[in-house]
Amino acid sequence: MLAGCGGETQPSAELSAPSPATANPQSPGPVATVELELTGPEVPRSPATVAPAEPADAPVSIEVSAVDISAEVVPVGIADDGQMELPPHPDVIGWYRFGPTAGNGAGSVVLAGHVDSRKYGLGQFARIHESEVGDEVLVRTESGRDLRYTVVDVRSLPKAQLPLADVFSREGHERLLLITCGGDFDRQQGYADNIVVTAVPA
Amino acid sequence: MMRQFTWRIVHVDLETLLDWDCKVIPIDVRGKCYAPKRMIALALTMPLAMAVATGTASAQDEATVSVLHGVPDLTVDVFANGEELIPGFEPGTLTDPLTLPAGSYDIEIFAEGEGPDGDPAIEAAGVEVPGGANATIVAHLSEGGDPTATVFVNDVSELAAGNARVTARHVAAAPAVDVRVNETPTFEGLTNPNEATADVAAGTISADVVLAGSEDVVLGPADLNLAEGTSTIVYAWGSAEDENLDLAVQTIDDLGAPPNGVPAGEAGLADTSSTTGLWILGLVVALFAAAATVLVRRRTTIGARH
Repeated sequence: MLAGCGGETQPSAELSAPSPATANPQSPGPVATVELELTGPEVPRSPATVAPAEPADAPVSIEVSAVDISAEVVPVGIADDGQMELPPHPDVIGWYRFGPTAGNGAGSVVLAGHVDSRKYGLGQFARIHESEVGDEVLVRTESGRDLRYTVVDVRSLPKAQLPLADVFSREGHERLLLITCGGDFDRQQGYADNIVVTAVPA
Repeated sequence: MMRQFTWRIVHVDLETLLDWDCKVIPIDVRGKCYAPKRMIALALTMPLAMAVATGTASAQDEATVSVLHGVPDLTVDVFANGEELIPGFEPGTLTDPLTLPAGSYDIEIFAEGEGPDGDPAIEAAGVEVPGGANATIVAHLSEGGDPTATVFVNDVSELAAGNARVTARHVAAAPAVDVRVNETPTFEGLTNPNEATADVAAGTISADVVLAGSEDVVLGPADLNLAEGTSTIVYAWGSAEDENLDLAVQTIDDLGAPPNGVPAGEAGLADTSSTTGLWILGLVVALFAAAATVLVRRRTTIGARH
């Protein structure tokens, strides 16, 4: 329930009371109050009602035919270590469910998949580094929407340089980010790089 | 949507502001005093030193303030420092966040049409709005049913990725309550005008409000979407006696953090490093060498037999 997925702190009832009603101790003597000359339109207000939760129309599949990728997509969240969670099987791609969904119109839609796994070998996203500018990406959502994107950038960069705030941004024009690992591999440290393919709505 | 105000500075004597009498308001059928002296100083729930944020000078000179009207059956006009700020303000409504210069405010809340010369239903002088703070001013009933106002400072600190913040504020004419999540008491013994808060995993919860220590539901259940990166503030307002208790919700977005990485591989099968390449090459060479040795021995053995 509130503890959620593993290791969250339990909520505590912290009751904070307002300070006792005495003369404001911060302002001895005359007080400068700001006099308002109100300009502009009326202050906007709205009913403070409980808003129903709107489930996102999640992506369910991705195809990049130029590099022979056709994979199932499932929603994922945060792993215990604070990194993005990925589906264990490298042929299943994870969509970061706390970010925008495909076709949402704004922000970065993040799809990530393991480049490989010890158990299953190489994954579908092992091929994304071969994609080229201009390749088509097709994403289908739960409701049956087909969304087309065009690759505009393919790059590899050291993991420490992955611009997390940008990669997971909800702002700006909609873009699709396909992410996996690559580069040099070290038994202790794992892969050195993230491979990031950026695509924009076609 | 932010609203900017233009300002003139007027000096006011605080002592004069504090010296006023309890008044009976004509609209009050119960004959209660709507302005008890204890209401004078709307102090904030956080010390001023904590509320001032670091950053640019302009950020420190301004505050973000929302106003919630939680007094039932009373449409009001809200005046700040003699100017009409929110006309025709209906119960259960919340303003958009306003950007206000930090400083001292005299708040007067009149029944609609009665201001600025009439007797205010709620009056609070010398309300300090500190620079850099994000706060909600709530007009509400005290536990005893008297209209009053409380300033709550909102926690807008960053949320860990995957998390949401939930805050419960008791601003109803009602005794102490427990706020339950999925029927488990989570904030216990909450009284008017206090709050409790927690950072939790994002998700949808079912929340209700019971009399403290009991299972007597007085509000809800309601499904609340605690969206990732968002603070959801739930107010219990209204009057138990008048049977108009209700829930009001305020959300503050964009408090979240991204995940701190995308760990997408573990087996080294896509390794591009040259040392591994050499290792594999060496292995292949060794295998060929071993195979060649076996072949040579066999031929020699066969040859020897002839």
